[in-house]
Amino acid sequence: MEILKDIAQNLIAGNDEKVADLVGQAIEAKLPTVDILDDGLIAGMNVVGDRFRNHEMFLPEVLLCARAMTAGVALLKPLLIAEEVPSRGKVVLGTVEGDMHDIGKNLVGIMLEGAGFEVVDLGTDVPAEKFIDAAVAENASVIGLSALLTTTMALMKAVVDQVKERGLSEQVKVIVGGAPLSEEFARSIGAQGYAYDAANAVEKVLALVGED
Amino acid sequence: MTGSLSLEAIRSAPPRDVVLRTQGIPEGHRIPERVEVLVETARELYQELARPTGVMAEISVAEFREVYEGGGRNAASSPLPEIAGRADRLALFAATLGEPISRKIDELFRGNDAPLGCMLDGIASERADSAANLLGRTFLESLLQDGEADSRTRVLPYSPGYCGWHITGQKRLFAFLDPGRIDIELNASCLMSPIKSVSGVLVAGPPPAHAFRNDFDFCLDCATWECRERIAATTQPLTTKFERSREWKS
Repeated sequence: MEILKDIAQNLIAGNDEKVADLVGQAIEAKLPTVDILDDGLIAGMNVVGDRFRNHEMFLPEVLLCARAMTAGVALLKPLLIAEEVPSRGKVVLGTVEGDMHDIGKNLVGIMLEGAGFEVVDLGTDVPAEKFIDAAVAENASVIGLSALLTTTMALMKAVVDQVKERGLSEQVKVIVGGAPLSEEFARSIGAQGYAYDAANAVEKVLALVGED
Repeated sequence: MTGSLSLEAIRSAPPRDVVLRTQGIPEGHRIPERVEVLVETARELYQELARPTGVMAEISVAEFREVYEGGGRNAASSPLPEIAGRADRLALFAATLGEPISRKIDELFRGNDAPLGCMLDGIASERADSAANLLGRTFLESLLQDGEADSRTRVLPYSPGYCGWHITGQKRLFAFLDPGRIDIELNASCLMSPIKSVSGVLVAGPPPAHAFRNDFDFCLDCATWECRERIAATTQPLTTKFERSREWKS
């Protein structure tokens, strides 16, 4: 469908107003909601993800695309709910206790929503038990932890440990990220995933929920 | 030297290429018009909202040891006690860009304008780092003027939250320095508000005073290893006082 290609192209160009306009037209034309989402918006974001990975596109451009994605999804959301279309999964996200830095965490949230996930953002300075409580209450499959300080990243292990202690290891996977972190650190604390940036976080979360 | 300072040299936004670097954009990458607009809008917002001020107070090695001990939660072994012991002079510092810019960044993210919010955040983070470096250069300048430093002296900032200095160290640092006089507050988790603030200790000494090994326990978990670049930079020659003052004002 030409209009779906146009949606994807305008999303790649970061033109949020045009994306909203085209999604509105597609809805009026009674195109299937899932097609508008998958073949228009998500198809566009997939190209954006590829270009970001290949260093052909950088963070500000990706954020403009994500905003265009959000504009389109906002129009589709009532239809997705009414048609009971399942989301790709739910992710509980937050910056660990003792750390107030939230930009990286916010970017991950935007990118995950852009990729079709539901995100429960707990904010900053979040105690370990609050992550677990939220994951249980929201029936989330992934907990995403962010830290910028080398002295707070150690608190990530408390979340991983509590997931195990409460017998949730099968249902809830933990992914970590933040400037001072590494794959080795994630492995050492028993986290199932590590992401070096927001786009990578989407790939890793997709893998954790079995959609890679 | 002791007192609060208006950091006029970082009152203006960094140049376009520096802003692009904060976003991870390499030199030579073709920037779409929408991104150029973001850069200029963020630079204008910074200049409209930033109120950079700093405060600094000299401290003896013995006094600093007490500050550093903080709540007793530092790494068992860390480089700063040795570095401070080798220093010629020490000063505690704090600097902030003020509340309006931190509030604006938050508003932009909450208001679905992450592209502009992220651009402004990048500028503010770069300027906050520059504030620490500017205070370091001001400290060095005062030492040079007083004949307390020479051409080998280098000043580097070290902050709680990094390299084994636990964030709870902020409590004693704040008790000694009183950054409340420039409207920086500490919350229950020892984090500063406004968030675009920096604090720590300025260490003045010859290049070898700043060198330390990179096999502490926390080094294994660190992905940046910026300390290596900082240590390497101390071996670079100092420019003249005139050139430095021009650099500060640029």
